[in-house]
Amino acid sequence: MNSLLIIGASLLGAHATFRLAHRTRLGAIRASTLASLLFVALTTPLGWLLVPKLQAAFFGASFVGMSDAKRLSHRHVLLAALIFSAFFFGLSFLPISLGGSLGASAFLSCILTYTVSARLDRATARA
Amino acid sequence: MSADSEPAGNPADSVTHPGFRWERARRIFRAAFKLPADRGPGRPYGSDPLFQFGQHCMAFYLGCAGCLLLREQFHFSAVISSAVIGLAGTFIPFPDSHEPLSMQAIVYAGSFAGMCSPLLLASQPVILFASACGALSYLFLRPRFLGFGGKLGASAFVVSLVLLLLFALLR
Repeated sequence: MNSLLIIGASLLGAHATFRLAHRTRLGAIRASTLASLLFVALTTPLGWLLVPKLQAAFFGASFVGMSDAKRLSHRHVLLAALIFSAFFFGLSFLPISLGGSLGASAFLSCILTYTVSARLDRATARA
Repeated sequence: MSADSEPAGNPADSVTHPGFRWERARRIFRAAFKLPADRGPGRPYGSDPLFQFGQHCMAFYLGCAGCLLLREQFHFSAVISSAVIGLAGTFIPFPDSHEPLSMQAIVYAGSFAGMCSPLLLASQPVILFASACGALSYLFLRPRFLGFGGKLGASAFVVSLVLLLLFALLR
């Protein structure tokens, strides 16, 4: 159940940031920060033990949503968020909090998604 | 006005920077950061790599120190501190000659580095060193991965890894 919630928070974070950044004139940074602060404001009163993890997952996935639409489409961003949540589970085993680990995971998932989709596109074009 | 009295070329080109005379370093930086060698009107320093490095360093420091301050003094969580500093950074009126979007982005990147354990960012010299590393990694990553999300976090992660490595070596 916890894993599902974390995956859901990741997908929501990427989706909300991507939509905010591209449908409004906020820009990627404001979209990411405002979406994250709103999520924190909404989830903190719940008081669950899982809430800080959910907030971190949402915040990290919002970096995926900061991608340019020319690089990653909406579907690709959601896929990258899914990959990010897999990295996020791995991060929980780190003994010390490393700044930028969420961002680096988001970056890796974006690069992975872009590379795989570009390869698939090339393969389908050849076939 | 006669042709002799006209300054040759762009007047901004004739600006000299007595503090920055390291042509070799400038050439290496320009190649690494893929910077054009232009200096437009109103941009006296243009894309001078050493100047860019300096201003990015300061912006990174601002983000990093601000995030640490919110965490240590006001006991905010890392996520809230970073988001607040990132949001505040977008309201700093950087002049157009200083690439405001890039500066806002690096303030946000600095705030990610500020999410590091306070054990790693223990003193001001360490934060300054981290800012230099962060600015370098950001300037290196920016032209190569344009449009990809997570670039800022990746440059902050490089800083964390460098600090962790240094602490492990010096211990």
